[in-house]
Amino acid sequence: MSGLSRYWNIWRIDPASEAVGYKSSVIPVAQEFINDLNFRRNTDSQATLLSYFYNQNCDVDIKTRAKAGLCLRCYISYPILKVCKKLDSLFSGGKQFTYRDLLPFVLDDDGRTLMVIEQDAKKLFSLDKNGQLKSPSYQFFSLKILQSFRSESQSRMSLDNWTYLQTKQNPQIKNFISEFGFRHLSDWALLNRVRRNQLEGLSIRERNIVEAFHMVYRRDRVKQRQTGIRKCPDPSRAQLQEMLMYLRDKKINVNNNKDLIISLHQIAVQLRQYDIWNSREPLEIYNPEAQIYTPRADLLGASLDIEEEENKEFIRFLQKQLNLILADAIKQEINNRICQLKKSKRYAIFANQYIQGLQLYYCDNLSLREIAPKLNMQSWDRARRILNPGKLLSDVRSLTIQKIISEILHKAQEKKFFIESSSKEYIKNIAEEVECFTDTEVFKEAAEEIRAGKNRTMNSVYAQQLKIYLQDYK
Amino acid sequence: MRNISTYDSIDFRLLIPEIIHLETEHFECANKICLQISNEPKQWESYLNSLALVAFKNWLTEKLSQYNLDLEIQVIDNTYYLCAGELKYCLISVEHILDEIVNISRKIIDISAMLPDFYVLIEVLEEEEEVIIKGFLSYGDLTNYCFQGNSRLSHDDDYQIPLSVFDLEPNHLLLSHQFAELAESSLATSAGNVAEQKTLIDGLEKRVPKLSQWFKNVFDEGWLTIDKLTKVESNLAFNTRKLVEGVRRGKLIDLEIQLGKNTVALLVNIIEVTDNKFSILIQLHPTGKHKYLPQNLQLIMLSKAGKILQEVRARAQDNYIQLKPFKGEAAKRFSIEVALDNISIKENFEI
Repeated sequence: MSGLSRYWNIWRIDPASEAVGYKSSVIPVAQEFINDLNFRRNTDSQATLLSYFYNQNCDVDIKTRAKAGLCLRCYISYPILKVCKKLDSLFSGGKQFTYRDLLPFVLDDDGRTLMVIEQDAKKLFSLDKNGQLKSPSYQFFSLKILQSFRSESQSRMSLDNWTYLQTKQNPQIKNFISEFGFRHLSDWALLNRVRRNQLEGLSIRERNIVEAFHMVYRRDRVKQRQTGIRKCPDPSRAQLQEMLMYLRDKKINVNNNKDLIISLHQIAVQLRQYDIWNSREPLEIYNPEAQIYTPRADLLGASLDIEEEENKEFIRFLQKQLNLILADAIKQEINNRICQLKKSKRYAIFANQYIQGLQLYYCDNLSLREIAPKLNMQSWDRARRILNPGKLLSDVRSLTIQKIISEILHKAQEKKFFIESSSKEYIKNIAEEVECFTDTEVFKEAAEEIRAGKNRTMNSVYAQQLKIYLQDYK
Repeated sequence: MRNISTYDSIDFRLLIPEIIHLETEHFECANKICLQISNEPKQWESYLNSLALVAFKNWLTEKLSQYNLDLEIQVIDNTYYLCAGELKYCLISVEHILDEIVNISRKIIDISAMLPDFYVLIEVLEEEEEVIIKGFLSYGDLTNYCFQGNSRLSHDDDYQIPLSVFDLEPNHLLLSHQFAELAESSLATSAGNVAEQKTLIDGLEKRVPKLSQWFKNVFDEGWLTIDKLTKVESNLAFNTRKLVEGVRRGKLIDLEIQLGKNTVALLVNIIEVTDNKFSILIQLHPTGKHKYLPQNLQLIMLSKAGKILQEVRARAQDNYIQLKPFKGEAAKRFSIEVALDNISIKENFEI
């Protein structure tokens, strides 16, 4: 599959695909259209499609315009999906949403309805079977992106990056995140981790209150930790008194403890609503060698293409190694984990239940919340920390990749391959190649499975290997 | 599954980040190294740094258990470093990276008393008792980014580095150790066929010379001073004398390039023009009894990406050839290739 295939594969929400909640499907109309255009190598296919869609040469019929648009809609469905996953990962920790919650706001294109824009991108029409223009019953987010891209076409931004930015700034996504992004954090934790640019948005009075809070509460928090207090507790009376004293010195008038608590809560409300988009990362990076701005590498879909892969032998070698190594790595990491638990102060008593916990998780498809009471673990969080299927997966992946790289390097030594003098770079390239291979073959599916919601079943290659090990474990 | 051309290697990390759960042991340990500072914002910073450090140290110990490395903590001016074997890691701890920008204080990049090999980005979720290894940047990549004018300096003198510049796969940090081990193990097992193995190890161990380090009297093996070179190769024609004038420190070079029967010497002169900016002159000279360079010998300069930036070819009676002097900032990479007919030798450099 060539790079052009992005123009006929659309990513859409798919509730049926349990693990990930989305899938890609081929849009035959778009595929046919691209094939008919018969792009030669090195032609800028995207520019052609854009010029058709925006009707820049006025000599294409309306259906061609709509089809070109459909291809572009397919193309941008990938960066849209990617942004949702990225936002999910940026809000680390115990946040109460996943990318799946974000998809309905932005990944709503049906991949069917033919649409065109008219009057310098101001108006949008759908095209019925007879080729008549109609007002659309629903406006897909992808078309809003394309519409606004037209008016911004003077800018240097690529379509990928424009899509990235627009998706990140989608109002529904912003609202959703304001509500759910910080819900797991206490007001005190939010006040603790306030950032400079957030402070700048507060009034002088509020800034002083935050300072007073830091002075006292953060100082004590560092000490409190010794006694193992986790959730940030409400400030004590003595702490509030000390803050009031500090504020009095600064000539900030707060009447009493109660008023101070109210002010602190009010500031926390503002911090929760904080517009995280106000400073954003440059989307294109200057490449001094080529003297042009190029899109950030992480926004592009790298095209690992098995059909075009020259080195088939290498892939076969990887496949063989992966099969040999995976089961071993699982065994080794499970044993490591049991050893670690035995050494842990808090969790040593659970070390013997680790295998049983994994069995409940992988063989009986129970969630950590369901497993916790069965193994006398007080909470979901405790079960997560002890069983930690994500860490096991991450460790198995890391070890598998490490072992495969060693095999490759030893093989290279055996065959006396010439290794370039910049070999660290060379090893990194090998590592990326191996990661890409093993993730696609095994680990990506396994990760999606862990992140999937209710009613999941654990059937990935990794889960199967793990189950074999668990069944044989004595 | 391999039917979609849109995979990239951070996809896995978006789903499963490298999380370390903080437990009582971590907090106790962090408390011991946390600096006793009375200035509140600094104290909080130090507290987060020490949590990041303890977690990172544990992670590294676990991942590199087979290497028996000595791990040593160093704290300089509230910046936390971890030394593992030959490598130094400087920790950048943050409480979140929602705006996808990482602020790195200028003082730890520009005027650091110790140059780390890697800057490791660590997110500390204090209330949730979790630490996430987000990614890292090598010293070269970071300075490259900063000095190529990409990075904005904030009013607090921080470099603002986009998250996407970082390598978001923490496992890549382990490659350097794996690499060192490989070189060592090859040495140990090479008794039988020393010569064959040597080529490979030479290749592996050959470091990219850092030219700007020459001013700090740090030289890579194989590079001699001009004095020494003249002793080794007494006939090295020094028509460069005039050119060397004005050079604050012209340091030597001996590449002993074996091109058939012809040995030639590559000479690199480096002058510091301004802070971090250097002017470089590269010449190729005949050695031994040869008065002239072999005809058609080529001297080629390539960009890091392998693009030819300039080249020059020796005529019938050239007693040396040189590239046009060029300027560059520290950490910038380039390669020099010397070629004759079908034989060529490439040497990588970093300013």
